[in-house]
Amino acid sequence: MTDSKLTLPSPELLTGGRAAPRASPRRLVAWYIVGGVVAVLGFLVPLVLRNVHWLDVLGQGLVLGVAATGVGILVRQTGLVNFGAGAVFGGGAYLYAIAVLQLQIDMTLAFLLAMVGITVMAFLVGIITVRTGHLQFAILTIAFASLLVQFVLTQFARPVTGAADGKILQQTGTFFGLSAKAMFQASTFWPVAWAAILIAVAVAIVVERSKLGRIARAIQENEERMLFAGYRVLWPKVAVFTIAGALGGLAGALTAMHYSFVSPSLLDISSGGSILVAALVGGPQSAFGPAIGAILYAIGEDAFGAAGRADLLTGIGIIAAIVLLRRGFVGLIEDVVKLIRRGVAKTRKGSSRVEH
Amino acid sequence: MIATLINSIAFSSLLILVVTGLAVIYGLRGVMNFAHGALYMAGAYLGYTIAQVANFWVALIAVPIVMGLVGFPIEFGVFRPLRKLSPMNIALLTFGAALIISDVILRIFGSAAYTANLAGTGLEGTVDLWGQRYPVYRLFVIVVGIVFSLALFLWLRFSRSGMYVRAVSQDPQTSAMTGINADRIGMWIVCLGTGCAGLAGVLAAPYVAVLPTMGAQMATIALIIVVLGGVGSIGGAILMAVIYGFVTTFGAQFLPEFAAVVPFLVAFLILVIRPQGLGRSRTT
Repeated sequence: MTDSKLTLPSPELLTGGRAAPRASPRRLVAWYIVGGVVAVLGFLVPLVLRNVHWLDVLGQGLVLGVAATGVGILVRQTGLVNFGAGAVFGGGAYLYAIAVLQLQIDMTLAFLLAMVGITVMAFLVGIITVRTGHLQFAILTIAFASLLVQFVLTQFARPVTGAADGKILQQTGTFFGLSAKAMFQASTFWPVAWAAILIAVAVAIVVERSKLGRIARAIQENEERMLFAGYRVLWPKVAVFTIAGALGGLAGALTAMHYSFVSPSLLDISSGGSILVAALVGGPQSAFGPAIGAILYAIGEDAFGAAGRADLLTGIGIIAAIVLLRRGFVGLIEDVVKLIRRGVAKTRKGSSRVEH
Repeated sequence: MIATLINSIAFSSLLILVVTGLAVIYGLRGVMNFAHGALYMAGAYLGYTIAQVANFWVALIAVPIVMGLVGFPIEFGVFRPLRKLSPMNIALLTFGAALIISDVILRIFGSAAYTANLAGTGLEGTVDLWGQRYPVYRLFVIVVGIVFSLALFLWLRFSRSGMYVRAVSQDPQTSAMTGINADRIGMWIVCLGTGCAGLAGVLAAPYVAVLPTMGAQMATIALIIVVLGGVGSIGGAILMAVIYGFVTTFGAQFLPEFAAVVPFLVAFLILVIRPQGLGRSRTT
């Protein structure tokens, strides 16, 4: 195995040297500093934002953003679009609920179990689904989410899942020192949600820069070429799918923890659709785009969801993202910044010419 | 047992109508229409409304025509201007459209379940079938399904335009080189596809509960069937529709606990063995 690995050409070579865009070291340091400052300041938001309602809305946006970042990683690295991210989102929530209710273990342990469970599930589903084409993959993700919804609703699963009624959780113990009550409160839940989104974005960046990400992108560009070059094309895709699934499960488990409640709506197409639209609106081509999209979506959902029209928002969001914002909100910002820069450069050039 | 068997055939007939529309639109336009279920639902609600104010026979004639005409704005307003988008982006677009259509229908009709009125059509009531009472209407659905499948087969196999459709489905570029006007055929096929969805919807209106969730449910089933049949293969889709109809109906009979789960499990099992689906799918 190791012998053949030595002779493999690098994925960059196979994609004509177009690998992860690397900023210059000085600029990279600047980005790290900015990122670090934002990361730390984010924890302090509840001290500034006193409005409980908005804190709650934004907190939900962050959790949605964790799942959306997962969907974004999958799109960016493999080109696969997951319509049924509700499967891992709701799956994580239900696994956590089952661990809490059936095993009667404390929150932290139940969370860890749920994370292991959802990662294994994502891995197994990934092996089946990523082998098919892009459209088939999209349809299968919907199929799998529907399968889980139907399973949760069966009489067989009712004692554990509560079927259509859902289940209220009696959580014991603490999660990072927070009791179930503290997890429910917007101001104390915020740091957990913020930490989760930082982890998700960090995972997205690490995957992007890792060898796994480079191989996955090269496969996306031309699967046959990678196959002929001696790479295995299945496992990188499965690995990325599993990582994305684990992030979806993380968001789901946190949601169950936050509300102390699970219901089949966490699993369904509406749930998966809202995760997908968050990723698309934010811009899946950037590591932090989906997180921004999720916050925008949460703000929109606050208005639409109250009228029971969250699906309408999702539908409009998807169409707007495809037709108007081809590269999402982040792409739009980048374009605006580029335009301004070009404008500035032009005026500078113009003024220097005058000086000569 | 006989009732279950006939029920399977009736459900399969309905599925054949839906998946045929989905498969031909994919074949000719390369669009995986996630809104197909929403069109089917629109057909069902339209059929219910017309049956309410006029007669079910009127609905049965009018709805497929109206829904077929809907194909024109879809073709000229969406598929043609946006043909430069990737198939995935168009699929996403139709997914968004499906959500919007569902919301609109929910706003107009509410979340209550309706059933289309069959009074005065001669299709209500039951007949004696080998000692069992069986609803006439389901037999009618079977007849429509069989006639439709036969007509489709004869058209695709023996007519010139049918040959063009098969050619473009298999290889759009080569068939365009031989002088087939894929655009014009595509336009009619899109209308045929939406008309099929409308026909399936109006046929379903007296048969299943007309609900705002029926579209998403049917879309999921139909899309799975198309994947299992081999994307782009019309015959594969029809074959899978029949298999799916039987598995679901017999599952409901003998494994009522898991009726809703069984078809999905079968679907995943098939894909483990044959990731490309059962039929002969287009290579691109």
